[in-house]
Order: sequence, then structure tokens, then C-alpha cells
Amino acid sequence: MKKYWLCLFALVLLGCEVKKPEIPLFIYDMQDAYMFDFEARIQNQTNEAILLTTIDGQNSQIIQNEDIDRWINKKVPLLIINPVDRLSVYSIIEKAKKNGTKIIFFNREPLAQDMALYDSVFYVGADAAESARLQAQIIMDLFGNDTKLNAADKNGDGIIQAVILKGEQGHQDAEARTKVVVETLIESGYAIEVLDISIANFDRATAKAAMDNLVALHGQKIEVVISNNDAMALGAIESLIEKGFFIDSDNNGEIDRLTETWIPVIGIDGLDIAMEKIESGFLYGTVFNDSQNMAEAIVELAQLLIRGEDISGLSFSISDGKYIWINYKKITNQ
Amino acid sequence: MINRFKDLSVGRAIFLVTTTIVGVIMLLSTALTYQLIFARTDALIESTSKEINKQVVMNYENYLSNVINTSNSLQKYILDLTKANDTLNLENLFIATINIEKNIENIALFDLSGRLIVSSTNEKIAHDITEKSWFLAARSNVDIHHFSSSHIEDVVIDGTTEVFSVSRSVYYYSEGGQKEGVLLIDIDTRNLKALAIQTNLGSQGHIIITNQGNELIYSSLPECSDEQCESAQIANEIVLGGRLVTLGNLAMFANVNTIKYTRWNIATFINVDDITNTKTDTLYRIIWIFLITVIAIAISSAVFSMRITKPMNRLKEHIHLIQEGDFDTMVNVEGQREVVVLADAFNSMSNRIKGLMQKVLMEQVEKRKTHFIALQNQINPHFLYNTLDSIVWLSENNRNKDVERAIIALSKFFRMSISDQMNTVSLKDEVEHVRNYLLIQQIRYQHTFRFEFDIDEEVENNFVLKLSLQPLVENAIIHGIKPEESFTKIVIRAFQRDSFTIVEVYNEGYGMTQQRIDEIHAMIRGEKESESMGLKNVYQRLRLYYGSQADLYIESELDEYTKVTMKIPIGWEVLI
Repeated sequence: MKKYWLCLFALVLLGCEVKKPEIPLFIYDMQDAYMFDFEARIQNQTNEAILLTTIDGQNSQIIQNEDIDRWINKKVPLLIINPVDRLSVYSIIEKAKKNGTKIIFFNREPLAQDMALYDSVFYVGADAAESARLQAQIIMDLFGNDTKLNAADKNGDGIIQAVILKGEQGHQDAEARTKVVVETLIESGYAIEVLDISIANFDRATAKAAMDNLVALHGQKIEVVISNNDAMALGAIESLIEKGFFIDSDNNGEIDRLTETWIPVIGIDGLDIAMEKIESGFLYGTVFNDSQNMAEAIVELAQLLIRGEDISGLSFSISDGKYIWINYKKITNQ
Repeated sequence: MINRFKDLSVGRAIFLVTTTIVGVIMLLSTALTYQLIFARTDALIESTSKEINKQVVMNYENYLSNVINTSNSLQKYILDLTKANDTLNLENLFIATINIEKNIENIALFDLSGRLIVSSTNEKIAHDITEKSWFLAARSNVDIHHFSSSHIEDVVIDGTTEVFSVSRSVYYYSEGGQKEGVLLIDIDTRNLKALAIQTNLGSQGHIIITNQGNELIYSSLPECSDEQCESAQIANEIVLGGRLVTLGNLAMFANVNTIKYTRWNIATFINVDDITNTKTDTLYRIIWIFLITVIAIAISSAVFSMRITKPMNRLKEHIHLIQEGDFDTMVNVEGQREVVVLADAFNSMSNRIKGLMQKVLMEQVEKRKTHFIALQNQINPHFLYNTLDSIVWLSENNRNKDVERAIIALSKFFRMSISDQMNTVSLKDEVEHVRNYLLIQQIRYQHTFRFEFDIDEEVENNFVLKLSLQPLVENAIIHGIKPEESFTKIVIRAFQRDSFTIVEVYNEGYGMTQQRIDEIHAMIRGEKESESMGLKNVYQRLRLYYGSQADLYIESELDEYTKVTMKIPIGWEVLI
């Protein structure tokens, strides 16, 4: 109703132009650096044809539920959701199904059984296992792509001594990345000793504290720090700098790997700040979670869905009629 | 419609217009107020209920997240301790955990064949672990924690406690390698209940927890024991969000939300009956105020319009009275100032009309009086001339004796005519007067006629107009005497008939035709130029004095007689 009045108002003022459909974009938590970047990328993709309103879930499924309920009641044709709790989305899917509202989930993948509840529900994301496989490849590169290992194997025992900074326990990505990175290395013939797995909830500050602890426990034994994401990797670097694992002798703000002291830390996500740290030599590498590509896929899919057009015309490939998988990229400064 | 409106009386029009306008305005403002209050109330109910629901959900989330955190910690220790082949410590850890977390009933780790690895209990473990729903669920999706519906503890044989199971696929080390197993944490449902009781949801307010398959996990309402109960059905229907529902005649706000990580739905039913009742009360109150106001306006406009129309109706009736000639009644009204002023003006107008009418009447009377006297005065000179003429004639013939008698009679006659100023005389006096006249005339006409009087005693003292009989007799002499016949008889008769004094003058003359009678009648009534001054004069004086009831008329038969009759109403003298 309000829209018609607005339209009428606009008609009086400007002559009524066709109003952009307003579509809600639910972000689980705008405090999350990765999601903050991601949201900006999605908004940058929008054009004349679509208007996205970002709604912050503040990391509370209750708040997100309330907002989703309100937007479904507004009869919007489509919801774009980055859920707080991927396990709770079956209620959202049921509700949307009742109201004929289409949904694009992204970044946090609902259970397959929930995705199967409704035809008009889609997922745009990257396969967590894939990111771990790429992270394992970076580690292999680090150790010279040789199962006998190169000089990076500091104690020369032929075994990679690693600590893992894990995201939230039980978090799909955290579980998958932790499991797959180790599995990939083992499958590729590398010997790996996981000195410790510390749960740092994908959070930089938590990771710094966890790293402090790990350094105290394992110290010089640590040959590589594997992090489930960049934020924790950066937290770990902070800790490691304090403990003297990085020494910028010439004080130029960069680590020269040939002449200065450093320790390999590997993240996932490809945050802008992580890219800078790679450039300056503090972060060894990351797996770029191609949020740019995902943002493009989300906006393109959203437009097709709003117009009710056939999604086979999408420029991204669709698996099982519902899934759009975006590939990761390895980033190092080698 | 407009014509019908125009036909309405002022009172009705005022009443209708006032009542309609006030009614419509009141109706609009009432509807608006109602709308405003109710929109606010509804919004308040919704937001309050949603806040309560959030609080409840957060309580449960905190509690259940705690369970997940416990599980996550245990997973890490399982990895560490099994790697160190230290299952004893793991068992101790499990036991310590259930001692700290009082609502945890049991912790157990199984391998994929259902064989127990470590548990916190000494009781005998059931055999068919791999067939338990929590085990199957943990294996169906290895990435997540599974929260089962509440059941009697089934990990041990002869379990008694009502629990819900949290199960998950985990890794552990065995014989140097990582293996998958299933971790089970059984939790007493007491805490779910305790959390429900903590929250005040109002009388009959309750909490329903279901899982994604709409299986009932927990209900704080005793009568809702399975997913078929009404509350569960409503929760299932709402899916997510909230709305107002009626449960067993009570207004409830139902809110459905998810509990993070558990795949459970929680529905809160909050009693808002009081608020909705207040809403209904308010509605009734608003309707009452509306009705009372409209009635009050209707009554006061009716009273007010009556204060205008009642005096106006009295004025209207009064005007009818005046139309019928009643100027004596004064109208006396009370009411609004304008109407009182109008009535006063009306009274003074009617007074003035009355005064004017009386003045006109007086003028008329004066005019008649003048006319009457003039008519009366005509008689004498005429008579005097005729008599004097006769006397001259007598003296020329040396009839001195007759001259003497004639002059005596004339003097008597005149004495009487002059004697009093009254307009009427008794019939007796008038007859005496006529007798003198006849005597004079007999002398003059040398006794060529005879005369007789036949006067009833009862009319002797009745009053007749002065000098009214004499002209009739004079007429009888002039027209009745036949010169060729001696002794024509003139008879003067008087009697009473009904309420009239009838005086007849009869003469045996030539008589006259009916046509001649009609002519004379026409003359004396003034319809035709008069030849006979005498009769006309009498007739006019009769009418002036007695009004229309008095009459003078002639009857005759040719060559037989002529009779002139004077009809005088008794006691009907018009005021002169």
C-alpha cells in the first residue's frame, strides 16, 4: 500500500518511474569482517534493476527470524539470507514456501534435507572442503612440494609440526576445513603432526589469546600455523610478533623472508587486510574465498528470480538445480 | 428528498439536522479513536509478546548452547585423551562433567558398531545401540549435533529418567589412528521445565517445543501431550513469527521461533486475554459514550426546537382565532426571545386592529343616527304642508267650524311630535297621533272615508317608531279613497304574532296588481327611484332601527283592498 502511495507521490513529482524491487539482504553479523566486506561487494553489484536493503542479524537467529518474518509479511518476492544458524533455516524455508517467497542462501549452507523442502530455494557459496584442499596445497608448496620436506621442516624429522586454529566447534566450515586440510596432506603422502587444535571461533582476539597459549606450550616446535580463516590468522600473527617469531630487523614494516625471522601462518578468506599482510610478508598465504564472484552470482541470480526468468540462463553453473559453487584461489606472494 | 425536507416543520428540521450532523461527526471521531487505540494496543501486544518470546528463546538458547559447548569441549578431550590412550581419565572427565552439570544424566562414547568406549555410568548398557534413533541421527549427518525428542533414558537397560539426547559423530584415536564414533549426552528434561516455569506467560500461557519434524519435544501445558494438541497445531501452522490466536476462549499471542543449533522450534503462548478484554471494554465504553452523546444531543435539540416551535404553534392557532374574528384573546407565549418578541408584536397588532374596528363601527353608528334623524325630520314639513293646504281649502269654503277642529287636531298632533325627543313611542301614543291625523284628513276630505282601530291590548304598550304609522295611513288615504264611492273604510289593526308587533293598515281601495306591488317593494327597498317618499322613509327607518328582521310589505287584491303591514321585532332595538 505504502509503495503505491510513494509511487503516486513520485508520479506527481517526477513522473512515475518503474520502482526498483526492494529486496532484503540478511547478513548474520556485520561485525564479522569477512561478511562486512562481502556485503559491500554485493551492494556494489546492484544496479538499476534491484535495490538491496541490508539487515544485520547481530549474530542472533532470533533477531534475524523476526526480520525475516516481517519481510515475508511485506510480500517481497525474494529473500537473500546469510543465516546466523544454518540449522534453523528449515523454519525460514517452510515459512517462505507457505508465502511463495523465493530464497537465496549464501555463505552458510543449509542442510541438504532442508534445501530439499522447497523448489525455489538456492545456495550460493564455496565448498568448505575445497578451501581446505587449497590450503593444504599452499602448505605443500611451503614444504617444497616434496613429501621429504624442505628446510621449512625446522627440526628435519620429515614430519610437519602444525597447530590449527579452528573456528567454532561444530561449525560446518571449521569442522570441514580442519578435517580436510589434514586429510589432504596425509592423502598426498605428507606426515603431519597436529601439535594442537585451538578453538578460536573465527575471531581475531580469541585467536591471539589462543596463540599465546600455543606458543607457551609448543614454542619452537611449531613449523606452521594453519588457521580456518584470515581473522584468526591475523590474531595469531599479532601473538607471534609479540613472542619474537617475526623480527623486522630493518624496521621497514615488511618481513624479508630471506633475511628476517618469520613463521608461516596460513589463513582462508582473502580479506583485504590479509592481502596486505601477505604483501608485507607477515602472512604466508591465504585461500581467497572469492566473495566478488559470489556477489556477482547472488545479484545475477536474484534478478532472474525476481523477474521469474529461467535460471538456466545464469552465467554461473548450477548443480542440482539449487547450488552455485564458487571456486577458491590460492594467494601467496611467492 | 429535498422537497420532503422542505415539508418538514422547523422543529423536525432542527432536530434532524443537529442530530445527523452530530451523529456523523461523533461516528467518525469514534471510529478514528477506536482505530487509533486499537492499532496501538495491537502493536503493543505484538511487541510485548515478541519481547517475552525472545527472552524465553534466549533462555533456552543459553541453556542448550551450554550443552553444545560442553560437547565441543568433550570432543577435544576425547581426541587428546584417546590419542594418549588414557581412557581412564576420559571416564573421570565424563563423571566429573555430570557432577558439575547436574542435569546431564549420562555421557557415553561409542564406536560405529555400537560398542561402548567410555561412559559415565556403571549401569548396564543396552545392546542395540546402533538402532537407537540418536545414534542413527548422529550418523545421518556427521557435521552437527542432534537433539532428540524427550524419551526415557535408553542408553542403559532399565533407564527411568526422562531425558533428551544430544548426539554427534566425533573423532577419537584407537590403535594409533583416528576413528569415527558417536558421542551421546543424555540430559534430564527437568531444566526445560524449570526454564518454562521461570517465565511468566500469564494464566494458561505455555511453551511448546517441537523439532523440525513437528514432533513434540516438550510442552509446559499438561493437557498438550502430543503433536495433535491444538497449541502444537497452531505452532506448526505459524512456522515462524507471531499472531493472535484464541485457545480455549482465551486470547493468546502465539510466537514461534527457532532455538539456535538445535533444530528445535519453540512456541510461546502468552495470555493477552486481559488486554484484549480491555480492548473490548474500551470498545463498549466508546459505543456507550457515542450513544449517550447522540441521545443527549437528540434530546436537547428536541427541547430546543420545541422552545421555538411550541410558541410558534400557539401563534399559529391564535392567527386562526383572529381569522374567525376573535380579537379579544391575547396570545401568551414563553420561549426564545425572538418568538416572544414576535408574539408581543402580534398582540399589539391585534389590539390595534380591534381599536380600528371599533372606531369604524362607531363611525357607522354616527352616520346612521344622522341619517335617521334626517329621515324623521322629513315627515313634518310634508305633513304640515298638506294640512295647511286643507285648512286653507276649508276656510275658503267658509267651513269655520271645520277649520277650528282642524287646527285643534293639528296642534295636538304637533304637540305630540314635538313633545319628546325619543325616537320610539308606545303604540297607544302613535295610534292617538294617527287618530288626530285622520280627524284632520276627514275634514279635508269631507268625510269621504271612515276609519276604525282594532288594537290588541297586549301590544298597546309596545314601542314603535315615532311617526311610522302616520305615513302608512296617509298613503291609504291618498291611494285608497275612491271619490265615486263614499265611505271608503280604513282599518288600522295591531296585534302580536310570534315575537313581532304587527301593525296593519287596511283600505278598501282599488287595490293593485302584483306587478305594481313588486315595483313599490323595489322602490321602498331603495332598488328603484322612489315615488312614494313616505313608505320608503318608514322602511328605511325600520331597518336602521331594528335591523334586517323588521319589515314593511304590501298585500293587495285588485278592486278589493290594499294592506300595508309593518313587522317590528319586540325588544330588538338597534343601538342608536
